[in-house]
Amino acid sequence: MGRNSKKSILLAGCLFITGCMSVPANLLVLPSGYLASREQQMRKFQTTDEKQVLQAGAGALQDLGFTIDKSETNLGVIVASKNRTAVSVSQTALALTADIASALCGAYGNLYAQTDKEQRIEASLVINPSLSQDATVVRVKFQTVVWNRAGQVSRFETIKDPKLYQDFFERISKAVFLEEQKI
Amino acid sequence: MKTGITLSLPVIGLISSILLNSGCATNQQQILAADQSQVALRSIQSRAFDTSDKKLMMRSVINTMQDIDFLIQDSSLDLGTVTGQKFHGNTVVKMSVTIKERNAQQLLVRANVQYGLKAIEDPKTYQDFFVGLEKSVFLTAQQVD
Repeated sequence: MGRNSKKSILLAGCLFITGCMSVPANLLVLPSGYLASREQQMRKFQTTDEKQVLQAGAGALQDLGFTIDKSETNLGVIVASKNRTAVSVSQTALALTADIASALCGAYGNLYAQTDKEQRIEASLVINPSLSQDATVVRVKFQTVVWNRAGQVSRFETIKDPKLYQDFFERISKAVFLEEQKI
Repeated sequence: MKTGITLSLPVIGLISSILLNSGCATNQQQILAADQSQVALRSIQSRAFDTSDKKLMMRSVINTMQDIDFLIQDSSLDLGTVTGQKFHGNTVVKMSVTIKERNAQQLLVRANVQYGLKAIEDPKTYQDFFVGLEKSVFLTAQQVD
């Protein structure tokens, strides 16, 4: 068998594998720590004026540099985001050094394309009535999507820094003149 | 004769790979319908809940989608729709949920999910979502025909 035919069979195999990808199981399974996450993302305000709380939420998001993408007042939903750089000097330097080293050894390496370039921080806010119906519960979730220089998603994660959530709820609290309460 | 075989093998390999790679269904099928029968699919993707509170149900859907890490993209109370997406590695997972009245006492919730270029038609995936939603609304999801 010639070299060309071996290559073509390998190529055909690779293409076949990418043809129909399988769907991972557990794609929509509730994670075990969801109640703890809810606790971090939710605060209760002793008011039934949902509109006032929603306005305060929009203001707090703007304070943190988010732009409002979508809002549905009737439902009490705000979707906001901000795009920022994700370039890390140390990560870029390391990748460039590795690429230069492989070039010196006569190989081709492009780790630089795998380095982080841009991130989008997304905030989704939804208003819920409290179980006792006499208060308003605000839930906000901050998530970040990071793209590398090749344009691929390199990371997608929920921001879990308690300070960010605390700061956000304090801003709402100041705007509505009400103490926030943990759920 | 020998050169003829070595030349034709790459060509056969390439053609067969193109044919295999062209997808699981024809373009026409992809546009018009799902792979499964539409009635079966509707049954897999839908559940009825014993409540008439559409607003509360929509908020519960949003909360459940947030619990399973979806970025909420859009929602409309009038239409009864919620749309979101998340990333699984480098693959985009898109989900939309519609909520409508089934009768005076019940709401019908239907979800559909797309993983990359593939529609999800596996009953277990939808079952997982409705189990999460049940916990959020404190109501039992009922299978509908």
